[in-house]
Amino acid sequence: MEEKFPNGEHIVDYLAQESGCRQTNSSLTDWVESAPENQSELNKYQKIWNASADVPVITKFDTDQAWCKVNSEIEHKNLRIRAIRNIGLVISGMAATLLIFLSLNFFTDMFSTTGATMSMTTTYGSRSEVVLPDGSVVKLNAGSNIKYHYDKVSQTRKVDFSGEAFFEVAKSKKPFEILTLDGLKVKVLGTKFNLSTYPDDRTAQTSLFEGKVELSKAGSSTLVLEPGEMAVLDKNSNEILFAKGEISHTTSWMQNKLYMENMSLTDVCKYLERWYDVQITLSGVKLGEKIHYTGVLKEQTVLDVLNALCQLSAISYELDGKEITIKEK
Amino acid sequence: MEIADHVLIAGIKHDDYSSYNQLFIRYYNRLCLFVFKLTQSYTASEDIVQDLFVRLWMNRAKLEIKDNISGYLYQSSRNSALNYIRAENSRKKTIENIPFQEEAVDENLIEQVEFSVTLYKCIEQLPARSKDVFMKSRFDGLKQQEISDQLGISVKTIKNQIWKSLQFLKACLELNDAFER
Repeated sequence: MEEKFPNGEHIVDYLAQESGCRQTNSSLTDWVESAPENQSELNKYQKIWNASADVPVITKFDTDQAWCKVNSEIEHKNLRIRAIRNIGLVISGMAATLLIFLSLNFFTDMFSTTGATMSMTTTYGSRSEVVLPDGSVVKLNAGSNIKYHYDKVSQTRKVDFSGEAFFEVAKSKKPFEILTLDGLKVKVLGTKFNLSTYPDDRTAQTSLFEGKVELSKAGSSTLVLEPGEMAVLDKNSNEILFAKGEISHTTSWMQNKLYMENMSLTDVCKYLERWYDVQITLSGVKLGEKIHYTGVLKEQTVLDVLNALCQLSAISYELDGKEITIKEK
Repeated sequence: MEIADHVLIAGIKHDDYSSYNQLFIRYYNRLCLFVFKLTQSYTASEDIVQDLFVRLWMNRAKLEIKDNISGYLYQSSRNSALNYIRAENSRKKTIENIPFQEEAVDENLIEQVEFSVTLYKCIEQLPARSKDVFMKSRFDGLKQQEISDQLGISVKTIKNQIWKSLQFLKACLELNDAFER
């Protein structure tokens, strides 16, 4: 190894010369010519030496920093796409509003002190997403109705609502107030929550995912919900009470899932009627209250659901167009 | 174990952001170096490659890359680089300089870039002192005598250290099959 060093020194000297006018001295020439692999070895060192000029360039490119830029650029682009989609929804929603309100509310609106109004209805068997003029996003479940207007006098965003929806209320200093057909009042500042208040249900349910909401009703005490909590309005006793349960199950409708916790056949049928726009008749004495289900249903068609229910309990069904009759087996 | 490029692309097509992140980390600086060799502009290189990656993610659903992912990335970078050069030339209204060909990417240039990137990884593995001497002699344009004065070691020691670094780098590059490509 000792005698190798002088060659190393010569190679370094040779490389350190300006490329293009490199000259080999005699001892390096001797070494190169002594064996063919020595020439290829010198070539490799030369290649390393030349390529190392790129290293200061590479170090100028900071991958981490560049990733931050690319990442935020993508976020920005995604937001823009969403905004464009939202505008589309607002416009189509406003077109629907115009049709309805031109015929009903044209004159009253002209002289009222309220701002723009918009409304949206989903029939049984259909769902929709609507963006309100304040930027709030509302995902409507089947058989729901929403009317929005901005009250200039009280500077409040006011919503009349029935059915079921998931609200993502845009943050604003202006209060957001929902009044349901059942008389339940939900006061919001900026949050995400699910509200289920079908007129034909015995209860109305609110579950909160983010923020804070205040629930009230004439003749009942006020209740403030914290994230992760849910509350139920019992329409018979007119009481608003905290309810136990997994709040994520309350939004399962958005994934076409139905979580049943000791749910009666009557209630299951009510969901099916809304979701699939069918009419279900239960034949048999108190059949609907006799059978209860616990579990989760995720099916594509109403027939898949009915077949699943027949497997779980001693019932059978008959189908006639949109009319379904369920019988005891 | 490094995940193969085509696995990352498959992940990206299925909206997997971490696959996308990995592909970015793998290719960012080599593509930048490649574009730099064409444009001679640091900012243009970074802009072009970042833009390429943003488009890759935004159009991931329509992505049609068969097998040669690295070839695709180099080709796209080159196209953008040429567009940039064209725009620059017409902006400066200089017609005479930089003749460029429209054919396929210069394989030789890609090979150089890939070699340099591997070399960079190997240099990063050098002991701190050797790296310091190597960088000073190679990049800071310092003469061996100047380095000797700065570090207080003899010129002979410096040569010896450079030689040792070169031997290490050659071994490291051979280990990474860098000379065969």
